[in-house]
Amino acid sequence: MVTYKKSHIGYIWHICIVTTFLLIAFMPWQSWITSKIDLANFLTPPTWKHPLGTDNLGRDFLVRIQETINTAIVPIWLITIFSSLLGILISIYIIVLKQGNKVLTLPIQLFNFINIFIASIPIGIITFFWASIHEKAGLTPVLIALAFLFTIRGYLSTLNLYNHDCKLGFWQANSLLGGTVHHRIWNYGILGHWREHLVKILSFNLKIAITIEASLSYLGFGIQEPNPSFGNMLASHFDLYLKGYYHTLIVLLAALLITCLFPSSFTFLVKNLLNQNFKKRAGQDKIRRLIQISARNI
Amino acid sequence: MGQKQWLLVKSKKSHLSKTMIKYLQTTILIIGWCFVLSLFWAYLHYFIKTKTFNPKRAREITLKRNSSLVIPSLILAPLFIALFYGLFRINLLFPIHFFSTFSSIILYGFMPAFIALLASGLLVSIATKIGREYCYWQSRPFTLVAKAYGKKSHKFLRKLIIIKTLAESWAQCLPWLFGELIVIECLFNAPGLGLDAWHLAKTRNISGLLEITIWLAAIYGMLIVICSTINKWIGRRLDGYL
Repeated sequence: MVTYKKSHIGYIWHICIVTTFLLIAFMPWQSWITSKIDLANFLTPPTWKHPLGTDNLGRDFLVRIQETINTAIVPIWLITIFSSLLGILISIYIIVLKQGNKVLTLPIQLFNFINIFIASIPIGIITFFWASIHEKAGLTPVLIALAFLFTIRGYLSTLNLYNHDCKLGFWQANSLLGGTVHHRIWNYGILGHWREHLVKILSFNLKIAITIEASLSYLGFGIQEPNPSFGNMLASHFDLYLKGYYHTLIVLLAALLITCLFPSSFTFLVKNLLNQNFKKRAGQDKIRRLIQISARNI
Repeated sequence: MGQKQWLLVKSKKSHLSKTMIKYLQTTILIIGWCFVLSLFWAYLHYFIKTKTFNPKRAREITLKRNSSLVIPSLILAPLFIALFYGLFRINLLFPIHFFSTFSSIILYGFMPAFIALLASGLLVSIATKIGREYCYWQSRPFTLVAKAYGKKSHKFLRKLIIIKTLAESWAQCLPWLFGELIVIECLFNAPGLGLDAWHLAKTRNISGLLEITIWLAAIYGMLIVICSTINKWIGRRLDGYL
């Protein structure tokens, strides 16, 4: 009874997160709500005209959050997915290159060391360097820094998975029987149990990408005003929290939290949906096999 | 170079080195508080686990689950600052060193460290690992033999589980801790290496930024070496345990 209730509460939570995010991101709020600068109505609490209230310049929060998601979050997620996949492909290429080629062992180890060193540098520092050298902040340096970071993360994660699994019995048996590295990585790895790990890593990367962008925008090195970003909205209202304007803080933090939780909730729901379909089919196959066995026994 | 110019350069260098020492001290203070809090949290969770342990449910706990919740510091820090100021009139922002006592500076390092632990997922990681390790080591033959000899298993296993958990959790969460440290220092206005890097980036001082990067990489490298050494030592010791 307890596990039944717990699992259903979990499902309801994830469905709420996904539904709220999709409603905020894809409903045509701009056709119903005006979001121009209106200093007569700045910092208003939530009303029917402005469902989440207005900011310090009278702009509607709901429309600003939707613009943030569409102009900043979606490109960041696309870059994250692309760079993670690129990292995985580079890792597979280097694993295949390394097979039976002892000359490349040292350069590959040096390459891995450089990657680990770059991955250890906080991404804020990389973006600070970029902004200092180019005298420009915005979405571009953030996207470039995130692309580097997630390519390296994808590369190192796949390498870790391979280094762990290559010692498994059935991997080594396949190798002795003449199987290629491609075959093992594709069939045992990517179509096997690596899939769950890689999807988890990807959803984590998507969450981290939003927090990194928001943090950099808060520090003034990401997206600049008037372009909307969670970070620059939080920064411009920081002094207001201490004066008691809590609704701005609650709205922005809630929107940021829902956006951060969306990738993991979405992957959870998709995974469970696919698993249920698989279990149904597997269950039907099991019943068919049992009927066949019992028919043979008769 | 004339004598006056040389004196100016010398005074600038000594000012820079004093400022750098102050920034280094604040960053090390926050990391020190992170370690103390993580140790306290590990002991607390171990105590709770020993009191609530159910041997019948021990087998249900899977060893594969290794998730840690990460809540960004950009969400936590403004929330805590606003709540503490609104409810208790406590200002969590770091005080100015010139007007503060040594003990108050030490105390103000607590909240940034707490937020850093929450934001990097270290607290959740420690809590889940302690539960998992306690259930795992309870069923080991050497623990059963120790129980048969009348020893209390929770005292027997305490050191092993806490050291192993802390070493694994710190190694896992250290990159996020460092990433969040820069943002947290800026949010709390704590004069550490992260805040200095921010100011240097705004004034386009690339050489200063490079110096900060080297200091951060050195601290990070030192912590990674400590974590991996402890993990290796524990691994060698545990190889002989049944």
